[in-house]
Amino acid sequence: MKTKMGFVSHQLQDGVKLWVWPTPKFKNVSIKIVLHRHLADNTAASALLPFVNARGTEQWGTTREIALRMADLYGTRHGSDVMKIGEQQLITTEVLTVNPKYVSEPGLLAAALSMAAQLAFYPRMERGQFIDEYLDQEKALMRQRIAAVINDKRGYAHQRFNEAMYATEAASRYKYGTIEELEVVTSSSLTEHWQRVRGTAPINVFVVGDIQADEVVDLLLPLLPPRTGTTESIPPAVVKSTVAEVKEVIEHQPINQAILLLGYRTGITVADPLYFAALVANGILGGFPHSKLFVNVREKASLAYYASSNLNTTKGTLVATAGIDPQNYRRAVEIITDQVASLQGGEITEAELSATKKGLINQLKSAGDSAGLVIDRTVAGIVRGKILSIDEMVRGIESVTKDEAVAAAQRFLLDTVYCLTNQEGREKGENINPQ
Amino acid sequence: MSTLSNTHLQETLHYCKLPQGLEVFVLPRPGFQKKYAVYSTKYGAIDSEFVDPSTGQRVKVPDGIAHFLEHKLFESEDRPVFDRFAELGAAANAYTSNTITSYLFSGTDMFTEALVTLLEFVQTPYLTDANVAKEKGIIEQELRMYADSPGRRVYSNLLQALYQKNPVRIEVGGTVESIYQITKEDLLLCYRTFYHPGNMALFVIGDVNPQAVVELAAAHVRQPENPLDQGIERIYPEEPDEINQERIIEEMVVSRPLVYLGLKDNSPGEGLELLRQTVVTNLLHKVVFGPTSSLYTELYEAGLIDDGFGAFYTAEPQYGFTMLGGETTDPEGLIEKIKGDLEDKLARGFDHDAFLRVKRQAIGEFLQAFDSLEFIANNYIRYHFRGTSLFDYLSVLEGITPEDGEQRLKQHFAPDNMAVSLVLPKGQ
Repeated sequence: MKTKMGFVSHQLQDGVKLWVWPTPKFKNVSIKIVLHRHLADNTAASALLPFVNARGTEQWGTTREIALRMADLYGTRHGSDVMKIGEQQLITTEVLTVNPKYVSEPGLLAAALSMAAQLAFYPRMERGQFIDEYLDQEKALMRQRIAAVINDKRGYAHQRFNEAMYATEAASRYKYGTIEELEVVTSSSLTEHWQRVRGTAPINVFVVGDIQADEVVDLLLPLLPPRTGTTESIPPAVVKSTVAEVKEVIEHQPINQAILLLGYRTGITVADPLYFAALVANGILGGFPHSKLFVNVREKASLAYYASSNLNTTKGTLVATAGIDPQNYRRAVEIITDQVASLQGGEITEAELSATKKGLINQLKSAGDSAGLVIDRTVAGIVRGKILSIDEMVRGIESVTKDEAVAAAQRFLLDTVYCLTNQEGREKGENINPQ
Repeated sequence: MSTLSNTHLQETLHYCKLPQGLEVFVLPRPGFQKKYAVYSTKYGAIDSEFVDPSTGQRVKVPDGIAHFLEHKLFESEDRPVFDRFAELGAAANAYTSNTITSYLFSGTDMFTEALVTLLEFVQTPYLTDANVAKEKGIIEQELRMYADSPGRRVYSNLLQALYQKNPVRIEVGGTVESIYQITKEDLLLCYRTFYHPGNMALFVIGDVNPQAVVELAAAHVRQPENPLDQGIERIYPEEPDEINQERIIEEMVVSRPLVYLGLKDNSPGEGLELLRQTVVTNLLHKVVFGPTSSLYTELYEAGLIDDGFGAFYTAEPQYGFTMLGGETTDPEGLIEKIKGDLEDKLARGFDHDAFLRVKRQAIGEFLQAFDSLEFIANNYIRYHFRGTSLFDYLSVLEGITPEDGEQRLKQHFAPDNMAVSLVLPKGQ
């Protein structure tokens, strides 16, 4: 039993870990069950699992029976989906219920845990296989879900950017896989895949709320499925630190606003000595409304409503983005690359450094007030192979010097420029390599 | 200062009306690191026609001005407002709705300084012809971003179909044309009219001392030149009962159609009545369209909807509407099924046990929302400006009967006040 991030962790079985955070802070009990997979391994089949599993369980055989049961449990909510972190695909089942003491319903915790286990581990089957009718309906919905990427222009641009930047890496994949992979899934192939996933995937179960850890362990143990083999070990995400040449991809759609994305390789992950410095450097560049991108792209040049950057410490990359007038493509690329260059040249004021560190620390401390964020931070830590507590993160960020932030920024190498634009934006950028 | 304890929620709210006219609410949350404050004016996108208090003249200003003003209050003569919050490690933001403009921050340290900064910058507009012109490009890009969002378009278009005259039919941000007409003088006039302490409220939540918050606000809110005894005279056009058009269609690059049905509510009422209407309508949505309903199951299994299908109700004293829908492969089939089910429900009512079940569900869901500081603060202010209280929601909910639901069903779900908005794939 160990404590990390307020969590007490218990190894329940080989490859199955429980994380409990007993705290009187919340009015809810939050439960999340996560099965870990490599993103490139049977992506579409794995993505179907949470949806088919939520159609009916051994105990609650139809979607409507599940919904009625949830309503009876005082509006307990559930969500099943897959997430992508770096090059892992996570099959998730979440259940959120109100703390029993607010509704004088002592059996609520046991009922909610049981429902979470039913949804995550015990799908309804007939003759030992997934039910064809459920599978066909969920395949049709998944087809729509994959096709629907185009409806959300920013989401679509991000996906196309991923395909360009990570062309030969698993991170290029959409979390639901492709329609082609989906079509070949049958109830017998999915059943076989499910048996392997349920019996051998690493599993983490999180429970947060005003509860007793021992009680959760006692309630959960009998609900777990048997392990059927050695727990799979998932290789870490591919991290690259060099760029042969900058890729430029321009795509057209009849839209009002162009979406610009610039991808940089940093090579900096959680294991790197410059990890905290990279967080600070990204914060100075585009993490806040006081950051260089917001100030220069939006406030000074009036080119965009949003302009920001994000660090991916699983893949060792950074992505800067802005929504712009199609005619301003080249100017926006120039301003963004200039801002990165100024960071690399050490143009950081004392105010920028101090405000960015305070802003990051505020975000971290605030995250401790949300059960969902605490769980998600821990999940990301598990994927990255290193869980840092909020206190460790705060101390790490506090200690970053200007020189370290500059050293981290000097490792930002432009890799891919992607723009989703309309016909007006047909002009091609010329030499955009700032190096 | 008065206190209000809610045993069911296990919360105690502190309240004080300052001599300046500002109403201050504080909800202590011991054990939380984050503190959240929201400073709001009862002024939003629909308040585009009013009486200028200094001249007594009726004026009409360009659409999108409340939102424009929200952007501009972050401008200052010396140091940018965002930088001032950044130095305190606090994250500031703002939003404009049809009826409210809110300025907010959240932070874990240096709360006192951040609260003073919030009160100060909202009370200190700094407008020049140049900085007003500069904002137009930024807001234009914001509006263009919304124009590319199918979900937002289907919603906006439906409001245009439901309403003939009420300004709720226009986007909160206005149009690219209307924002370019906005001048510094227009903005100052709206600021003088609506940013009066008597038309505003402050809500603070977190591990804070209520007395200290009230004293701080009292020290930093300026005494207005005139009290707001007469209130602000807002002019809303007379909205006919009838909808504007039955159907509105837009084509975009989407994978499949989006469909929303809208029902216009011509009499949402005010105060407690409005709260009751809201509560009972939300229950009806659950019982008729929610995942526990037979309709939802039928639509889902027929492949007509996915889990993004849903219904919501919005009501203010000036307007109210239900919207329901989602993405579908067969818009006509979906509309027909929903209308058929509603006709059936209007003729035969619904199962009372099902109604009691969703009531229990709604109680749990309401309690669940109380883990979010932002939810509590923003919604408390919303309800307060409507003349009611978020803290009364549960007791009103508990008093609703299935008969109340049936009465409301007949009143609100009449087929003749329904409009449909569609976003269809381009070229189909």
